[in-house]
Amino acid sequence: MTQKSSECRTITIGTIEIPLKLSAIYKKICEWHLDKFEKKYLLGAPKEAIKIISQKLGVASKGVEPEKMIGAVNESVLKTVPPLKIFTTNYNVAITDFVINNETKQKKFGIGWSISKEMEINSIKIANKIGPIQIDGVALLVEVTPKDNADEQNNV
Amino acid sequence: MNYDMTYGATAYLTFDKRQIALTAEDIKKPVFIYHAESFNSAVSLGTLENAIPRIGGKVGNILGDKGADNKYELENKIRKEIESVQKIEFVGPAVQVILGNDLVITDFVINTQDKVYEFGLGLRFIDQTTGESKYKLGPVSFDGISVLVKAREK
Repeated sequence: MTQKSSECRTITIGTIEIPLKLSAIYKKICEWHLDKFEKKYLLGAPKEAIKIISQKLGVASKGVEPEKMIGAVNESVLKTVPPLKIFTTNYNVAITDFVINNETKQKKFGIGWSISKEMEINSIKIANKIGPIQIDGVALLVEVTPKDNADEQNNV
Repeated sequence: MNYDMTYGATAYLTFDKRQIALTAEDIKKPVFIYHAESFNSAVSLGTLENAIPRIGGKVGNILGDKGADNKYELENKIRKEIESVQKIEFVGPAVQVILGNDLVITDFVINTQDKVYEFGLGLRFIDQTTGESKYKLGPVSFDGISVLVKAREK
C-alpha cells in the first residue's frame, strides 16, 4: 500500500505552521525545509527551541536533552565550523528543518539563523565564514533514532 | 525509550534573495554539500559575467588579496576552460551555449578538512513550453549541462 501525499500533515509548533510534504512515497518520508529565514519561524534560545521541538516529536525523554545537543557543538567542531558558535549563545533561533520517516521512525529537525557580517551576540563574535566561504546562515541538524520502536511515543 | 542521536549542520548561501542549503551529514567531519534537484528549480545566477562575481562574493579568500582584479582573473580562467572544450566533438556546440545564456547554480561543496571548494555552473536546455530539449550530446538529447569549478587551498 502506498502512502498518499495527504498523509503528510501540517504540524503546528506554537504559532508556527509547518506544512510537511511527502518526499519519497516508497520511503514514507514527510519533510519540510526552510526557504527563507523569517521572524515567524523563531522558537527562542537554542535550548528552549530544542525542548519545544523534542516535546512535539515525542522524544523529550531520557537521553534526548537540549544540553547534550548543544554540547555536540564542542570546541573541536567550532575550529572547523566557527559559525556554529551561535548555538552556545542564547540568541533566538528559527526552525529550519523537520523530517519524519514513518517507516524507520527516524526524526530529524534543524534549528538555525541567518548570519550577517561581523555579527556579535553578548560580546561573542559570530563568524560568518566556513574556511574561505562567506555564508549567510547556519543550522544545527539533529537526527533522533529510536533504539526500540515498540513503545515509541509520537505526538506529531 | 532510548534514542541514538546524530548531528549534522547546514550552511546557507544566498544568491539574489534565494538561498541554497549546503548540508553536512556529520558535524565532526563537516563536508557541506549542495546539489540542485533539477535544472528547473536551480537558482539563477545570470550570464557568466554576472555569475562569476556572485560566486566570487562568497569565496573571497580564494581570490586572494587583490579582490576585484582576481575576480576578473577567475572569470577569464573559467571562460578559457570552457572555450577549450568547445573543440571537442559533440560537447563543443553545447558548451558554446554556456557563454551567452543565463546560468544556474547546480553544485556547491565546502570541504574544510581537505580545503577543497567546488561550485557548478549549469545551463538548462529544456524548452519551458514544449518540455523538450533541442540539444544533443551525440545521439542523446539532454536537459542541461554543468561546468564544475574546483579550488584547492595551497
